[in-house]
Amino acid sequence: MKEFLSTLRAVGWPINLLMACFVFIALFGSLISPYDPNAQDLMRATQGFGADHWFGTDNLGRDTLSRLIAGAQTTLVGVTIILLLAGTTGMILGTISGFFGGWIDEVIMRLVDFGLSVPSLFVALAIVGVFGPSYWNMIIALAIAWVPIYARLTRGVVKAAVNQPYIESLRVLGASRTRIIVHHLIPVALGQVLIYASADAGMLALAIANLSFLGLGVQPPLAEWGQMLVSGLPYLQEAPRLVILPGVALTIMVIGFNMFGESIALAKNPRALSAGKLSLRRRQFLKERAA
Amino acid sequence: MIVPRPAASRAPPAFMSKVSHQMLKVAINRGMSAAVLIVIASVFSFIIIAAFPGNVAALIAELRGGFVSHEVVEKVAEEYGLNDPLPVRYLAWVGDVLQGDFGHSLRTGEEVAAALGKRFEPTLVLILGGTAVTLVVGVTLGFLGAMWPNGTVDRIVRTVAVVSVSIPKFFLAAMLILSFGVMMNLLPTFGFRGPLSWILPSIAVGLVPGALLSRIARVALEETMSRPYVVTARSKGFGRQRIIFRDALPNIVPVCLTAVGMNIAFITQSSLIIEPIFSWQGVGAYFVEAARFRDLPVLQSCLLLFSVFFIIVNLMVDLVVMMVDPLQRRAARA
Repeated sequence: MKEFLSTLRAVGWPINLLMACFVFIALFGSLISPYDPNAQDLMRATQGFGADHWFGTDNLGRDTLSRLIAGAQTTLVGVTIILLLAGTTGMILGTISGFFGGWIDEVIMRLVDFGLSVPSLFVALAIVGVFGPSYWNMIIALAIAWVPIYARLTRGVVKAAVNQPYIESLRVLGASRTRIIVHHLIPVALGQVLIYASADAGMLALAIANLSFLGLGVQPPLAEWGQMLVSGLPYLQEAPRLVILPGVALTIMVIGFNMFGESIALAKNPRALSAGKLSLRRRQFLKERAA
Repeated sequence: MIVPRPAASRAPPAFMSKVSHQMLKVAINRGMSAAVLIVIASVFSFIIIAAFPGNVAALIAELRGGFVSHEVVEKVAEEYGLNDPLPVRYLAWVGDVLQGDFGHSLRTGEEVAAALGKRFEPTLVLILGGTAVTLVVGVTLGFLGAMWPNGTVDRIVRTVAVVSVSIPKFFLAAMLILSFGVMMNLLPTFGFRGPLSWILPSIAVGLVPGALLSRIARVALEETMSRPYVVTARSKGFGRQRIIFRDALPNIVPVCLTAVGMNIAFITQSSLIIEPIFSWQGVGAYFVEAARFRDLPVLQSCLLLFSVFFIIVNLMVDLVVMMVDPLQRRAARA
């Protein structure tokens, strides 16, 4: 808990506030939304900004603000489920691969190589195409497409840890394989996976929106930003806000996720810094020293 | 007094023959693993269709229209060889594909290979145009940033790069259509009709990777500029521009090449989204259509072709970078 709080402190309050807003919307969105996101009111279709409907209404007279909130919920719940599924499966595969090595490692890593060489959107699209478009098929497809990254990540961590002296001494002490894996390897890998997942959430939100935009993800009437945007496209000329609002909302969410993940990675894993972040750090250090 | 640098001797160093031998070995090694990946890709493309939930024969019979009786389904299953065991079906399919026969579309009855050939041009234009935009935007902005580090341009570029990674492609495309097509009425936003209509999709595809490349180029340039030989060049009194163009630029070429190579995968992925928005009849749009209508043969062929394409592009990038970058050449030897 203490570690969690110190990590949050390192992230900085603006991003934390944004993330807190998202978590709040995901949990209590339906309570604060002014209207039912799916209630149609054809008499008031395509209204502009106003006192009744703050962000106006869409072509079917549905309240845009309520649909934006419901869309945030859809995306956040989806991202959470996919990360849980892909992270767990990837960690299991990666641990097996890194711990046992040999032909299992070879087979799993070849599959992972394939998964990483083909962009995830293609894999997800093909899977959805075969099983038919629906919310849950989209979740499963994206989870499958996202497994290889986590398998590769876990395998690297496990493989590096397996030859460390402390694992060797555990073996000498007679610890069982299960004990070594569960108590000593998984916690190390879990940390890395969590750090990566926090940076990955933004990409997943984009992937969900991409699939829904193509009509292969979240199905109407369930509100989702990508799908709201595509249904607003025919009205681009008369009511561009139907396109702009969901687009801006999605952009803000992804920026928030990306900055959150980056700051966590920076706070937790200074060694994995890229050159750009390093120069940033150097500048900060010099500034502090000068002060 | 400025001492002109003596012209560098271009004679190949003595260890060159050994290096190229080693490089050949590495290249063959990479090629082998790419071949394994291609086999995996074919199995995956096959399995994903074989795993189709429900009766494929019934689906095909249904799509053909008419009354679907048990006998009709049986006939379709026989015709498509769906009753054979999986390995037999896989080998038969691979044999067909190697002969250029990708089967027929379930929806239109058109031959998939012919349809792909027709739709090849827009996607190629999109990839080339997108890469051009990426290079122009990335290298220009990266240079500006490195010339005046932490200046106004550098700061703006940095912000834009952070934001642009997060912008959904379809939103960017919609905004481009809104501003250049609807409001200013400058450029066509619909269909694949001549070079003018290529501009907006290329920008929509290339802008985001361009912003990323500018960061990569900028960081690489900044790093190079702190190297001892740049300091030496400076102490000799050479101007900043000369140093950047003559001494620093060649050093970031491998970085840019890798980025552009990976970028091809990114742009091809964007074609899935950008082509439908601009109503281009490209391969990406074909794939999306197939996924929408459960057109299994098309889906299968597109997935296989795209996978093979990505694997080969990755291989090429690896090899080209290895040839261009002397450091990698040495690493390959070690």
